[in-house]
Amino acid sequence: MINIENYDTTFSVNNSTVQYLFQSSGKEKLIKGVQYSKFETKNGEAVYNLGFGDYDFETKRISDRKSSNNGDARKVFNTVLNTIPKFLKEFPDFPIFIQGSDSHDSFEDECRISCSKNCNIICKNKDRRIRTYIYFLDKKIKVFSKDYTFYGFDEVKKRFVEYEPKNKYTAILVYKKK
Amino acid sequence: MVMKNEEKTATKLNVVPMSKATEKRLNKVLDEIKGKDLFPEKTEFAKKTLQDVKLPM
Repeated sequence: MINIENYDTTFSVNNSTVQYLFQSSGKEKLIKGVQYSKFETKNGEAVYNLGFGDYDFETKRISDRKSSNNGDARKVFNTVLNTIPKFLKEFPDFPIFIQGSDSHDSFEDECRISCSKNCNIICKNKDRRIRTYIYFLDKKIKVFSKDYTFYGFDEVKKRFVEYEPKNKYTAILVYKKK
Repeated sequence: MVMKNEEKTATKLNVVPMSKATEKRLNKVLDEIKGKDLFPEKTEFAKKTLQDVKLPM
């Protein structure tokens, strides 16, 4: 259980998706959504992929492409992290896969088209989302590790390794301990 | 001792409560998005990442 403020959530379960919504009350009142989508790997292993973003009232969709900078990032991220125990309580037999949408190979090229940061060799925005998850997870790893097992995806070895705080990972896998 | 326990519980349950109006607003959005895969590209990306990877457990 996280001991700092987080937003209350509503949720719905439908076929292979589990959705949580909450209102971020920072500079503006924004609706944010967390979705767990089930899929199977080639080996037939079922995994739930975590998605998170802002609800857009015009398109009636949730977008994970923008950063809203609403002034309550800590509270928002703890709310997102707090959906993990809620989800695993309902679905204890499935792992959760967490990967940022800014970690894919073509992100850097896409980012450089419109980015104002003028990064030289390394794109500062690449892997930013997973770095944020890792930052918040590292702070609470001792608490979470009592009930959950974490693995980090090692991009060089192309496999999951036991999660160690402060290490670089491009994705995270979470299991509920039995 | 009782006070200490109450304090501990209060800290643990540090959830910003939701007003009725917010709950209604969120439920309306939930109805609109229910069952839709909101992040199809992300799901495909996850599948691609895990395509040749054996899960650790």
